[in-house]
Amino acid sequence: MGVFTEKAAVGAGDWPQGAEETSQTRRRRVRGRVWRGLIRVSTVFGLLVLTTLLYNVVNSTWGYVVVRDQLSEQLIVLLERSHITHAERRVDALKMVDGNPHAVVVMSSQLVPAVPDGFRGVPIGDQHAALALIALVPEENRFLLGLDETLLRQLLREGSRWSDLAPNWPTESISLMFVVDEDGVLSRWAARQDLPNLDNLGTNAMLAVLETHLSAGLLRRYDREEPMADRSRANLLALVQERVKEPEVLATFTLRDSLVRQGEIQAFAESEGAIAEFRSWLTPGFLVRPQSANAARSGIRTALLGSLWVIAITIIFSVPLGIGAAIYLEEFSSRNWFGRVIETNINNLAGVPSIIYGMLGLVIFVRALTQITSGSLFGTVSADEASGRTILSAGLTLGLLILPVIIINGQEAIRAVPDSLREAAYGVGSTRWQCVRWHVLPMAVPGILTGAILAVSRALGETAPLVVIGAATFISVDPTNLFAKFTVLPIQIYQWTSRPQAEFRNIAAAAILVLLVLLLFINATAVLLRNRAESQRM
Amino acid sequence: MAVSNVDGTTEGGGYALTASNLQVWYGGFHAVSDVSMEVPTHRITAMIGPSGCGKSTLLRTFNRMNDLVDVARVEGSVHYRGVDIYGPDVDPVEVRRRIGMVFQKPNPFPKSIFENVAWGARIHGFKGDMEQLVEDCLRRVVLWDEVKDKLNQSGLSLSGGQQQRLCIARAIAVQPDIVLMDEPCSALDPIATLHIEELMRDLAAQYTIVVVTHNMQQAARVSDYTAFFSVIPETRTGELVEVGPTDMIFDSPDNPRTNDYITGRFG
Repeated sequence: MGVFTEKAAVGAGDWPQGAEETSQTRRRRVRGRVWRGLIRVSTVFGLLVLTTLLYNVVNSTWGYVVVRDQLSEQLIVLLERSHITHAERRVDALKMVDGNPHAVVVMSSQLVPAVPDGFRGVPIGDQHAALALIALVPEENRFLLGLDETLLRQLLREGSRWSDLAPNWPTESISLMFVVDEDGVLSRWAARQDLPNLDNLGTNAMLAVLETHLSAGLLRRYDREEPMADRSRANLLALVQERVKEPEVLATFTLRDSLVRQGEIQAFAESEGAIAEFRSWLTPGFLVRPQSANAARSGIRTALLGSLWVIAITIIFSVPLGIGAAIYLEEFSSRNWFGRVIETNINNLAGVPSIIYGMLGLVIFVRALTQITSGSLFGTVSADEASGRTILSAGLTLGLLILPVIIINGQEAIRAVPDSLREAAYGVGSTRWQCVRWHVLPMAVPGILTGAILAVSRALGETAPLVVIGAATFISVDPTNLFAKFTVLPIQIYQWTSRPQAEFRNIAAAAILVLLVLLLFINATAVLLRNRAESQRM
Repeated sequence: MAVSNVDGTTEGGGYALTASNLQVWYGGFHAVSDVSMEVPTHRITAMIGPSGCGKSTLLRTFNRMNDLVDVARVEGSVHYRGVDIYGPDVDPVEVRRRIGMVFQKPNPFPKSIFENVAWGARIHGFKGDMEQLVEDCLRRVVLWDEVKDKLNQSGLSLSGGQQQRLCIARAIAVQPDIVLMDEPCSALDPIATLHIEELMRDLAAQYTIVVVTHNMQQAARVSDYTAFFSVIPETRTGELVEVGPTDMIFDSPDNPRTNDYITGRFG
């Protein structure tokens, strides 16, 4: 640091001394510090990017959803009562009660801007709320003019004749009609009343509910899956919950909003007559349900199975081939111009965009080798409906894609084995293969594995080539063999993020989490394998 | 198991190896030029000379180790038991079993001590008592007492000198006739060097040893014969200057260049 007095020596003038030495040393240190700072900044930046990514995914996977049932349980039960009917449209309802002086129509006040001729409107419930109910009573029906909410509730709970409510009323049977509105006013009103819910319905009533509310086509489909009559009550209840009650997601909120704006969310739900519930989009059910057009009913079962199938084929195809090629190129081929050409080509292939591999896969595996990749050669499908867009094609295409990477990494790992080890083996009269098998490979295995795992991880997240070779975007049948149609997680995620409904972005985030966990799992397995290989060599 | 050294003696006329007009090229580089020399049976032959004179290269031609270098090319012949080891019918694997090698830097396999010695014998299909063989070899190199309780530990856990003795044990485990040693002590401390030198003297009773060394005292101490190599300055090609009994080379060399080198005036 220039603090030492210089001994007069030959050539002393050639060296910086005193203050000059001090500043020279300082400059060197500053330069080092600047570089260290840059490196630290880039590391922090990388961590920041990773954290942001995770934050985004987690933010979308959990959070409040505001859900409103299409029909409240109470309304479902109500509508099942014999003397009550419901109509989808106001006009139908009015036509049906026309000329029936003992009928009453209950509907949302929004649907009745002006009370029609021949009717009188009786307000039901809170008139101050924007959305309220109104009962339309035929003018000639004098006795019902005193109808109010209390009476109506009583009427719904008990009695089937008007005279049951008041002794001076006619003995006609009650005829009530509800018009189900989209805003759920009626549904909410029913939910607030002390009325029976789905727990009070028996199996037969449940069947009746389903028959009333489900389309004939849907009923037939369910019947094909399992005859309706044979289904358990729990099964039927689940169907009613899903298809009749049909909870509809009004809005979804991010985890952050859910934590800091809880009050606003609750108020919003209140105003919409819906419930705000905290939901995890990533549930065990999400993993095992097949795809569906409804986000809440959708799962990633088919995509997850597809990914696992495809990646298994990829690994089986490319890892042995890649390692074999690496061994051959490093240990057996001679270093002539031909070997150099091959090596240069492999290096270039590793940099080719993945979509090109997709086109290669389309031409070779899907088109040219249809007979094999569709399985028609093995008799799994007939020749005329043979399609090469199968798991086998996808796995082989991804295998081609990562083959160069595995070869290059394998070569690096093999090259890192010191020549002294090879000489030691040859020195005792080993053949080339014995040397490779017993000394080079055991030393190189950890490195080879690391490279192979990185490559497989890349394949697992690859989308473009699979789009080209024709992965299905919507598929609800599990892939069960090599020749099945398939979709994979990244494609599923891509497809969900491009849907307009907000809930699909939530399940896309949940699927991303699943993909990340899957990657982590594969990497962890690799690390374990590598550590074992490392501890085995001494 | 005993190697029939008699064959070597009779067929080679008392010589384990006979090199005739050996030339070595690395690509376009002429590394060793026209060497003809004999290696006497059951003697230690030292190869000395300045850096880059091709003595290590020459040593490696004696068991076809240069085959592993793609660009290396050897001309001339090396006769071992009457057979040219560069002949068309000769498999280098068989050559290297009979002409073993010990390297400059100790390079035990990253495996157990036992396995280090046993592996060579196993790949050659040794059918006898492996444990006995390992013990014998380790005793030959005076390592047995130090490692007999930890045969399952890694060969790399030993000290440098012990590792080099393990490498020698590994080399003699396949029962060679000749052991080539490429500067076996250059990575070792003086005590370990002394051990190896003593060991070389012991082994000479049963094996023919060729040792490349930079250390002239070592050559004078251990060897029976010495070959002196030098470099042709213009082409940097190595050439054999003189070979003979060590006493003669060190005391009254024929060639003045040898004398210059020995007395420290050159190299």
